[in-house]
Amino acid sequence: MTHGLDLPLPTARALHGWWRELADLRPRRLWYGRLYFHHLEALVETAHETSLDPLQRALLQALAADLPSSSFDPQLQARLLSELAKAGLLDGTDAAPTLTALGRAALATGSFVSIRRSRRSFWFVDNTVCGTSPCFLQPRRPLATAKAPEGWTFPVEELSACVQRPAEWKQRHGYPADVRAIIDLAAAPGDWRAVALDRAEQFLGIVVEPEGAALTAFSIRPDVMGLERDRPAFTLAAGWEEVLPDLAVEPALEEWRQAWLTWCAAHGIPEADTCAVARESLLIQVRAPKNVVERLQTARGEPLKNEAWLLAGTGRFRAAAMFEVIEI
Amino acid sequence: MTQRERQTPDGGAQAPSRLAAEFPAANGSGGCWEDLVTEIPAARRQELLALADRQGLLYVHQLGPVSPRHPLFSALLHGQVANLEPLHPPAVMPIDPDLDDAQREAVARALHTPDVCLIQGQPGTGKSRVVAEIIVQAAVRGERVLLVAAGAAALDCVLERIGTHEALFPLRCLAPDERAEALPACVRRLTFAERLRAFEEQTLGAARRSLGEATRDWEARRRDEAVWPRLEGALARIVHLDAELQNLAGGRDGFAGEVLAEAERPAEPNGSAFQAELARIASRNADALARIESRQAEHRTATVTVQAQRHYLETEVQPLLALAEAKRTGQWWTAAWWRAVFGGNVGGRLEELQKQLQELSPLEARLKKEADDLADERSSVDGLARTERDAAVGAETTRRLAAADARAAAAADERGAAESEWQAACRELTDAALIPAGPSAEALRMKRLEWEAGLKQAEQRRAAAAQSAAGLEQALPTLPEQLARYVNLVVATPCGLAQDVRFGEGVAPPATFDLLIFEEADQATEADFLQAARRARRWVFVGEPQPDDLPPPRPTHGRVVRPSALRPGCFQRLWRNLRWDPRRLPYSWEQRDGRLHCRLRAVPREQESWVQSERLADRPDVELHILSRPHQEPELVEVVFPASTSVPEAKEYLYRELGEVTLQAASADWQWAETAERVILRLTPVADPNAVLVPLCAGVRELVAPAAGDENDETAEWRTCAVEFDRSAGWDRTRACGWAAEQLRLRDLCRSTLLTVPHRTCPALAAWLMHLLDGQSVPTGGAPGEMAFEFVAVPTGAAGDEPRRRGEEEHRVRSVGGAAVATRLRHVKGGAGLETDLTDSRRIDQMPADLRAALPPRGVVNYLEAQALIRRLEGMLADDSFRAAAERWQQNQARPCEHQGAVCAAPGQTTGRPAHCPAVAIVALYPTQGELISRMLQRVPALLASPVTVEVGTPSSFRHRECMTALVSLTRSHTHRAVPFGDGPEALALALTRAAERVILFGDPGTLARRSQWQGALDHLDDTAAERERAVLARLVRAVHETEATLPVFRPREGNRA
Repeated sequence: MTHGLDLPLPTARALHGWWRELADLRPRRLWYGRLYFHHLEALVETAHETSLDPLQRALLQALAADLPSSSFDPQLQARLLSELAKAGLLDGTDAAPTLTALGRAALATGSFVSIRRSRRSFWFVDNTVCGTSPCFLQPRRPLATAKAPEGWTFPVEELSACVQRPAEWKQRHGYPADVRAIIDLAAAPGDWRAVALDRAEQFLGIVVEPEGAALTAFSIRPDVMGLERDRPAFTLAAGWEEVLPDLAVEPALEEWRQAWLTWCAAHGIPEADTCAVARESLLIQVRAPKNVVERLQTARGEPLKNEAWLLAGTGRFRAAAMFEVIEI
Repeated sequence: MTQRERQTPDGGAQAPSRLAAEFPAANGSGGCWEDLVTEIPAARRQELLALADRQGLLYVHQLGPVSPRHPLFSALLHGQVANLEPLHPPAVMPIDPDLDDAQREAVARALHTPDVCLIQGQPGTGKSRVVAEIIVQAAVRGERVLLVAAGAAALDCVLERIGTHEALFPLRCLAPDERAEALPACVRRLTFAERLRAFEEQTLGAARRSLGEATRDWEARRRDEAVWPRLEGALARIVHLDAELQNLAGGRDGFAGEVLAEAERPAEPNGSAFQAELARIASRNADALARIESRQAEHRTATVTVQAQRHYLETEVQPLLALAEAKRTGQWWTAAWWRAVFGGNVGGRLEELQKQLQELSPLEARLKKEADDLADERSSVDGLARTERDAAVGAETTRRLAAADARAAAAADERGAAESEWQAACRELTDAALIPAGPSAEALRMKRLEWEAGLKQAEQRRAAAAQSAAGLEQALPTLPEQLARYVNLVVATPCGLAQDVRFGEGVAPPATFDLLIFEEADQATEADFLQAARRARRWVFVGEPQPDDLPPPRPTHGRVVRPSALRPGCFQRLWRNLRWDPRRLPYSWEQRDGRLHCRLRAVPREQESWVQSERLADRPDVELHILSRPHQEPELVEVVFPASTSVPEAKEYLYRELGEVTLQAASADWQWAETAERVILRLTPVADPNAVLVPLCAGVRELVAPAAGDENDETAEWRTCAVEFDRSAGWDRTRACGWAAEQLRLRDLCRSTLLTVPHRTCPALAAWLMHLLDGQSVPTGGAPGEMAFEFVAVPTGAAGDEPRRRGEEEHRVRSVGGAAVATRLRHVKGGAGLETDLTDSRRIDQMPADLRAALPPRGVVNYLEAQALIRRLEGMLADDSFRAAAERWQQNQARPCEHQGAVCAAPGQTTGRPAHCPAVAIVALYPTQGELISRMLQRVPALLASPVTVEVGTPSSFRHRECMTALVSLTRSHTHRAVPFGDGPEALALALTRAAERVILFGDPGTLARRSQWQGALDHLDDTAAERERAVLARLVRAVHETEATLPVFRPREGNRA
C-alpha cells in the first residue's frame, strides 16, 4: 500500500499558517499526513433504553388497571397497541391485550429496552503500513471518499471483535454502546441487508498533540490546502498509540537533517550540509556557519520568519517542527 | 425496515439512505447498500452475495459501475429502466372484496414494488378505491404512507373511504388557503387541530371522568367498611337466637323427663319451688306413713304375740290330741293310751287348750283386719302422696313448657330484630353483589373478603386512573409531537405538505415515509413530484390518461401539424417509459388508393421526398417504399399490397419475408393470460368472434379482426386482438415473454396497471363513454327503454329552424318534432349561433335583462340551451320513477361517513354545503353558463321545492364526485367557425364521466359537427389537446348521426320542444 508516496506535501508557509491557527491549542507536537479509513456499513442489532411516552404509559396503565381504554381515539389506540405489542410490552393487539412481564416492568420503570436491527456505519483506520490490524476510530466530520489502495482488505472479524470489547474501551473510542451484535450473512443467510460493505475513505490533514490533551486531527482541503478548523476530523484520548502507533515513534535526527537539507535546497541555500541539526524540546536547532546565516537573512520572503518549518519522515505521517538557526 | 426504523436516532452513524443519495442536497455520500443493491442486475446480485459470503464483506470497488448512479426518478423520467427487474408480486388478499382483478393486481404491484408503480385509468375505473386499498394494506404491514394529490378533492375522496380504518392514524394537512370548516365532517376530524381538540376533549376528558368514577367507586367501597361490623353483630345475634330457639324447640319434649328426673333427685337446700313442693308432699307422706308404720308396728307386736300364743297352744295341743285320740279309742297298746291314762287330765287340758286356741282366732282375725286396714291406709297414703307428686310434676312440667314457649316467642322476636338489622346493613352496601346470600358466617366472610379485594382493586384503579389522567395531562404540552409520531398516513396537497409545520419542508430532519402515493399524478408538475418523491423510498403514481397517451398524430395529407406547445406531464412520461403500449408500435394498416398499405416505420413529413418505390422482382404486385436518406442506409418504411390481398395474408407474408410482427392495437390495454392450451398476449379486453388467425411461426399466431374506425381514421380497419402461443409447440410464459420482448420490445416490468373496467357507471353508459373517450367500438347492446346517454339538440336544426340570432321566437323554430337527427346534421355548415359572448354589449338576445345584469361581464352563455336543460330537468323531476330513483340515490349517498356518525350534507340542507354526490349534476363547460343556469333554476318553484338534490357547476367542481344523472351543457353554438368546448378535453371527459346512470348532453349539433371537422390547434388548445377533443366530439357527432334507431341507450332528442 502506498500511503506516503503520493502524499501532497504542504509548503512551509502553509504549515506556519496552520500553526498560527492552532495556536490556541498550544500544540506540543504536530504531524501532517493521510489516513485511510475503512468505512464499513453493516447490519447490527442494537438495544436502546427507550422511555415510554406519556400516551404509551397512559394506555399501559389503563390496561394494567383494567380501566376503560376506549377513551382513546380508536385509531390512536390501535397504533399505540401495535407499537406496544411490537416492542413486546403487550400480548397481541386483539380485543383483550394483556401486559407482558416486560410491559409490567416498563410500566414500573417508565422505560424498556427495544431491540432493533438497522444498518450502521463504522470507521476503522487502516494500519497496514504499521503492520497492525485496523483500529476503530469514529470521525467527527465526513471523510472524503478515496480510491481503495492496492491490497485493500479488512479483517471482518475485527468488526465483531469491537462489540465484545469492554464498555470502558467503547466509551474511550466512541464506539456506539447500543450495538449488541453484528448481523452477518452467517446469522442471516441470503439477507441482503446483512452484507457488510467496505468503502475506502481518507483523512488528509494534520494531527496535533495539544498541551494537556490527547490527539486532535483537523482536515485539510487539498485544493487550497486550507485547514478546516471549525470541527476536528477526529480526536483520540489517552492510549492513542494503539490506534496510530506510527505517531508514537519520534523521527530520527538524521531524518530531521534530511528535512533541513530538503528545505535548504528548496530555498536555494548552499552549504546546508555544513550545518548541524539538533532537537531541543519542540524545536529543531540548526547550527549554521555565518555565510549560511547571512544567506538565510538576505533570502527573499524572510524564510526564517514565515517558513521555518520542516517535515520529517517518509510514512503516512510527517512530523512537523519549527526550526531556528544559530550561528556558529 | 420501515422509514421510521431507519430514522431512529441511534447515537451512532446511520447508513445513508437512497433518499439522501437521490437528492444530493441532503447528503452527498454515495448511497447505502440497500439502495445500491436495487440497481444491480439480479444475476450480478447473486454473484455479489456469494462473494460477500466468502469474504465476509463486500468492497465497494467490487460492485462495479453501480455507484454513483443517476437518481432513480430522473432515470425513470428519461426512460432508463433497463436496470429494473420485472416484479413478480404475490397475490394480495384484498380487504375490499369487491376489487376486480386489475385492481387487485394494481394493489399487489404497488405494495411490492421496490421503487415505483404506476396506476392509470379513466374516471370511474376505481383508482381511488385502489388507492384506499393500498393505503390500508401498507398500514397493516406497518408502513408509513404519504398520500399526495394535486387537488384536495382527491384526498378527501380517499379519506372518506378509509379515514376511520383502525389500521390507520391519518392526518389531513391543510393547505394555507384551505379552511378546516370547508372539509367534510369525516375529513375535518383528521386534521391536526381537530385531532388535538378531540384528544383534549375526549381522551383527556374520558380519563378525567374515569378518575372520577374510580374515586367514587373507591369511596363507596370505603363507606362499606362500617357496614361489615354491623353485619357481624347482627349475624352473631341471629346465630345465638337460632341456637336458643333450637334449644327451646329441642328441650320441649324433654321437659317431662327432666321434671321427673328432677323430682327423683334429692331435694336441695335451696331448691326450686317444685322441689319444695315435692319435699312438702314427701314430708307429709312420710308423716302419715310414720303414723301408720307405728300402728303397724304395734299391730305386728300384737300379732306376734298372738301368733306366739297360738304356736304355744298348738304346740301344746298337738301331743295332747294324740293321747286324747288314743284314749278315746282305747288303744291301750299304745304308749299314748297309757300316757293319757297316766298323764293326768288330758282331755281337760286339751279342751282348755283348744278353747284358748279358739279364743285366739277372733283376735287373729281382728289383727289381720287391722293389718289389712293399716296396709290399706298405707297404700292410700302412698297413693295420695304419689298423686300429689304427680300433680306437682305435671304442674312443673306445664310451667316449664309455658316458660319455654314464652322464651321462644321472645327469642323469635329478637331474631327478627337482628335480621332486620342485618337487612338494613345489607342495604347500606353499595354493591348489591357484595350482599351475602344469607346471614351465615361463611357467606359473610366470603363477601367481606370479596369486598376487601374489591377495595384493594378500587384503590389500585383509582391510583392507576389518577396516574393515567396525570400522564395524559403531562402529555398535553408535547401532544403534537406525540400524535405526529403515531401518524402513519399523511394526506396533503403538495402545497399543504410543503408548509405543514410537522411534515413540511421546514422540518429537520424531514419526515420520511415508506410509501408515497401520488393521486392525480397526471396533473402534477415535476416540482411537485420531486418534492414528494424525496420523502419516500417507494412511489405509487396514480392518474388519468393524458393526451400524450393518444397515438401520435398521423401526417395528414396537405396539412402541417403544428408542434405541441405542451410537454407531456411527468406522470405520462413515466407511464410511457414503464408501460409498454402496443399503440406505440410503428405499424399501421390502411386501405389507400385502392391498395393495402402496411407502414413499417413513420416517416417525418420532411423526409417523405426521399421515399422511393420499388416493386418486388418475384412478386411485382407488391410495392416497397424505401426511405433513402443521403449518407444513410436505405430503410424499408412501407409495403403496399394489391387490394386483393387480405390483411391476414399480408401479415403472414411480412412476417415470413421480413420477420416483422406488424401488430396494430386498438387500445393501450394488454395483458398476459394463460390457458391449459396456450399462452395469450391479449390486446383487447374481450375476444372478437370475427377474429382471423394469422400464423406467424411454429405455434405462434396473431388474431386480427376488423374494427370500426372513426370517420377520419381510415387506418383503423384491422386490429390485432391477441397473439397466441401454443403450449403443444413448446411455448410457455417465459418463452412467450422472450419472444414478445424480441419481436415487440414488450418488457413487462409489472410496475404499471391500467384500469379499464368502469365501476362508477352502469354498463350501458360505460360502454358509451369508452367509445367516446377511448375510441373503443360502438356499443351495440342496451336494454330496451334504457337511455343511459342522450343528446338533446339545441336547436333542433330541422329544416324550419333558423339560427337564434335572427331574433325569432323560440317556439317558432321548433317546428319539426321527431325528424331524424341524421337528416339535420347532414347538411350542417355551421352552428346556430345561440351562444352569447357577455363581453359583446351590442349583442341582442332574448335573455331577460335582470338575468343579463346578474351575470359576470365576461364569458359565454347559451340561454336557449339553458332553457332546454331546465325544461328537461323539470320533466325528469315530474317523473315519479326518476324521483324515486333519485331519492334512493340520495339515501345511499347520505350514509354516515364510515363510523363517525357524521352525515355528508346534501344540497339545500341546513349546512349549505354541496352534497358530495348529488342526484342530479348540471355540468356547464363554462362558469358563466353555470351561473346562468343556477339563476334560472332559482326562478322555477317546482325545482326549488323538489327533494331531489341538484347541483350546478363546472367540470372541475365535480372532480372526484359523482352523481346519478348528469346534464351537461356544452354551451358553444357558433355560427360558422370551429370552437373549442370548455377548458379542454380533460374538462369534457370530466363532465361526461360524472354520472353513474345517465348523461344528457345539451349542445348545438351544427357547432359540434363543425368542430369535428376541424383538425389542428384551436384557440387555447394545442394540437394534441385539440385532436383529442375533436376525436371525442367526432364520435359524438357520428353517434348522433347514426344511432338513433339502432341503439336504445343513445337517444338524440329535440331540445326545443317543451
